Formats: sequence, C-alpha cells, structure tokens
Amino acid sequence: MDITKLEEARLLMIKLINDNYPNVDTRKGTVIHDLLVSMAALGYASISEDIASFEEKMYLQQIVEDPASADEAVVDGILSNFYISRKLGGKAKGLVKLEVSESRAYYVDSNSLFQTIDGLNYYTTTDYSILPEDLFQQDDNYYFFVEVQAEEVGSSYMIAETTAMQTSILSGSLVSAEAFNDFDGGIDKESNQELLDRAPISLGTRALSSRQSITTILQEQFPEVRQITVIGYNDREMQRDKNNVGFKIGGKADIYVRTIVEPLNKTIEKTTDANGEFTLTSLENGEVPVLRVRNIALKSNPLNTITDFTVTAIGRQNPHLYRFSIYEQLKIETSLIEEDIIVTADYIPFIESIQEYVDSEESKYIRSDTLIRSYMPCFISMTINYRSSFPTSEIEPQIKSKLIEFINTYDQDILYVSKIMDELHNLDIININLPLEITGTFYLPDGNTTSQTSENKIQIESDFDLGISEKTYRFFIVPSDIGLNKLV
Amino acid sequence: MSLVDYKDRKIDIMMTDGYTDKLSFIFPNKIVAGIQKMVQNFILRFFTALGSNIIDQNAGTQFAQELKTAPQVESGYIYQLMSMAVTDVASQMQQVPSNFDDENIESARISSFESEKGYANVGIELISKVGESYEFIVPITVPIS
Repeated sequence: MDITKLEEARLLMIKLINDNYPNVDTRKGTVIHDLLVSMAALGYASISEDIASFEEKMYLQQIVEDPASADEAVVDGILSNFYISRKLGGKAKGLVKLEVSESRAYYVDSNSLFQTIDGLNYYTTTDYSILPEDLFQQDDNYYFFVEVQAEEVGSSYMIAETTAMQTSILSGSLVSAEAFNDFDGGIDKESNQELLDRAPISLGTRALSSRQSITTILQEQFPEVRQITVIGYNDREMQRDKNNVGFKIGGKADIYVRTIVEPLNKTIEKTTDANGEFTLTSLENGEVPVLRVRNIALKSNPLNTITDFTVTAIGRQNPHLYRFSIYEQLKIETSLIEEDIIVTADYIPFIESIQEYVDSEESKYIRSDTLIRSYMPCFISMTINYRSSFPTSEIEPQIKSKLIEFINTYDQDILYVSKIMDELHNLDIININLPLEITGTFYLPDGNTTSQTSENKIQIESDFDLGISEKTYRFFIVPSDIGLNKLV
Repeated sequence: MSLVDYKDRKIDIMMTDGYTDKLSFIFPNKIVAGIQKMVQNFILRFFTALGSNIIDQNAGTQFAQELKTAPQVESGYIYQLMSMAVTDVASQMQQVPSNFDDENIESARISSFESEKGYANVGIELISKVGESYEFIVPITVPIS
C-alpha cells in the first residue's frame, strides 16, 4: 500500500467528517480517528488503488505503449471487444528414426520420452508394436519410425531432420535415435504485440466480402494463418474469371495464404505404373495440395532418395489455375517402373479446412466463387561457409533458425542477399565467407520450375497469365535446403 | 470525575463504559469530551501495539509484544515495561494537543502495582493541564514467575 495514497485517504476522511460534523474530534488517538477514520482510509485507499490499476490496464493506449509488460488476461479481455482472441500456438510433431541392432519385435509405449541434446522433450502419443517384418534394414542394423509430439507449444520445438535424440527405451538394442524429418506444427503462442496488430483491422463487416474482412475473419477462424492476399475482380493476377471469349466477368476470388512459419513435409506412399508415372490427386489421402515434391524413394530403401522426376499440373481445362489448392492434380514422371515408392512433399497445412470454411453455407459469400491457395513457392537454398569460435552444435541451429524465421515471413518481391547477411550478422558469433550465393527455385503453377542463382538478389518476375506476381508468390526455405560448412 | 461542559467542544465516541457479564465490550451510543476523552485516548494508545496502526505507526506501546515473547518474568520487569509505556503514551498525546486544557495531559504515572502469578493490576494516574487527576486500574495477564 502506497503510504502517500493512504495519507491522502486519511485526510479526505477527516475532511468529510469535519465538513459534516464540525464538533467531532478527529485527532490521532481518538476513537473516531483510530478506529473509524483509519479503517475507512485503509479501505478507501485500497479500493482507489485497485480502480486506478484497473483503469490503467483497461486503456488500450497504455497496452499499446508497453505491450510486453501488459497482463495477458487483461489484453485478452480488452481485445475480446474487437471479436479477436489469442492464438494459443501448437505443438511440433515429427517422426523419430530408431536404429536397433537386432531383428526382433519391439514395443514402444505411449508417452515414451525422447530428448534432444538441447533438452527439448518429445513424447510418443500412441503405443507401437513393431514386428520383425516391419523393420527396415540399414547395413548391419535395422530401423523403424515412431511419431512424437513436443512437450510444449512453440516454434523452438521445430527441430531439423537428423537431429540426434536420446531415450531410455529399448536399452540394449538401441543404436541411435534421430529426427527422420523436419518437425512441423510448432507454433508460438501469440504475443500481446501480435494480438494488438490484428486489432485495427478486426472491426468491420464480418463477411467474406472485402480484403479487410476476409483477412480478419480467416485469421480469427484459423489462428495458424500468418499472411493473406486476396486476388479478385480487376486484379491482373486473376485469371479464373475470364469467360470463354477471354473477357473478365468477375465473380471469383483467389485467397492466397501462408499458415505456419515453415513449410511442413509429408510422406505419401504410391506405386508407379508401367511408364514410371503416378498421380497425386486425392485430397482424402492427403496427397494434395503440395508446394513441391521434394524427393522420391523406393519403399524398400527409404533413405536412398531420387530427385530426377518431372511434375505436371493436370485435370482441369486450366489446371494451373487450381495449383496449390485442394483441387490441384499432379502427374509425376519418374524412371522407377512399377515400384512401391515413398514421396516426400512440402506443403502448408489448413488449406483444406479454410476452403471448407469459405464454402460452408454460413460463411459462403454468395457473389463470389472463392478458391484458397497456398502462396506460389520460390524455395531458397544456399550453402554458407562460415567461421565461428562456437561449436557447430551450437551455432548451426541458430543460423538455420534465423534464416527460416526471416525468409518464411518475408513478404517483399525481391530477396536481397544483403538482407540475409544482416540477419546472420545479428547472431554476432559468426563470420561469413563472401560472396554468398543463393538459389531461388520458382515452382510454377503449371508444374514447371525456373531458378535464379545470384550473389545479389532473387526477384519475383510477374507473369499475369499464370497469375504470378509479388502478390501471389512467397519465398520459402526449409532446414535441409541450408548447407553449412564451418571453415577452420 | 468532574462534570464536563460540552459547549463548543469537539467530541469523541465513548468506547466503553463497562463490561457485560459475558465480558464482551459494550459500545453504547454515547459521546465523551473533557478528561473522559483524555483518559479514553490514553487507554486506546496504551493497548495499541506499536506499529500495528497502519495510519499512525508511531502510536501505541511495546509492552504487549514484550510480554508475549518473554518467558517467565519478574514483577519488577513488568513494572519497568508499564512505566515506559505510560511515559510513551503521555508523550504521544502531548504531540496532538486539544484546544481545551482539561483534555490535554500534563503527566502520567504508575500510582500502584500489584502482581500475582499470571496477572498484574497496574494503577495509573493521569493529570490534565488544568490539574485535574484521574486514576484507574489496568488489569493485565502476565507470565510472572
């Protein structure tokens, strides 16, 4: 309790009594003072302090000035008046490859702990019974996979493939445990600042009718959505609203979204035909949509991957207009004839859920046919030669994390190498060999790819017939596309 | 006790004028002024633990805390504590004077002291600025050896 405030309250109580009852003795030591005035002043000061504190917290302006120190519950309460709520984040998931020395049955309990060297904990969410015939062979050892989930929400749990893990299970037989793929789904809980940033655009028509309202509604309904671009009538990128004579007649909207920070990867089991071809068409089986097909491997040897294949958008009259949506269909040609294969593809999640939402009876905008698409991807890759006095196990995760955060949230049409350098120099523990050459591979909506390699910049070049512009393209990067080479 | 003229005086509430059979305090709707107010003021301060009144942390005495934490004590020690408390309270009251001298304390002293195992009766005499005297007995429970 603030003594000054208490004294002010005491004097106020005395004044009130003296004004109304001038014949009452309010000196210290009297019953009036010590038992009545003091208790009243204490109560008054306490309530005044609470009110002042509450009023202070209730002012949005106060929170905006210092969002980091604002109480989350209070911010949530105030911003609920804007019909927005905090995104609570998500737990990262991924496959762990367990290499074992014996060919026998293995049992992994649900809730088994796996831990990285950095102390990040992951747990299995189901029981696994692995029979000897389920094991893959690698040299003299065998391996199998289990899926694990991070202990807490947050992007820090998004570890890269081959990250070593420790576990106390399978002792005696376990040779090694490591992340088989890049973990995905780890989303940070939304900060006060991020929540506040959404407030200004949250009030408005709550219908899928304008850029602002679409952005607001989708971000509210799908907390995982990070970036949204709406392409509609009169936009040069809009090609779906052309009639058969070539005139644009409107009535269509393409909504490009980027959900979580880093693209995820998934594996799909397929069988190639006599021509070495297969298709990715099934939404139900999770085959589409994909940003890119990363690699293909024989099911009998999943570690030996090939990248020699071609992708073509198929299915509709103008299949490229539906690429990166749930309606896309892809034909992949390989040199593997009638083989069981495993396809690894990058994708961003929730496209299907968002499409379902905008098509629902309650939310559908009756004047428009709305298509949800991933942003068209330009995947960046690079090899960084660096010097650092820190061990690779410490510095390299930091480099990758910095690049992933920067590039996967970048929203300009030119990616400058100098900006990447700025990000890395912020680490302050690294010296990079110049020039730094980066490659941008543009995955076009028709299935083709083009690439740029530069020591200066990667630039999105518009092609409005294909719907390509800085509005519809984004730069992406995944950990496996970052090569790191420590120089001595 | 002499009669009090209430004209132009500032009054206080009478804290108590006795005890019920069940030893609970009576809070009658009565007012006090003059030497009654001075005595009441003295008793209130005398039984207030020093520092316990957040509004006036300098008000009160320490004897209660001393006796509470002390082991078995000699009656002489009790007398010493009471004597210090009486002097302290008189000094505190002199710092908040009234406009009327029969409400202002001139001096205070222990006029009698009897102790048995477990209790002590402390007689206190107060003298106002006009020379009027008031004597009363404070019974307290003490860990006398």
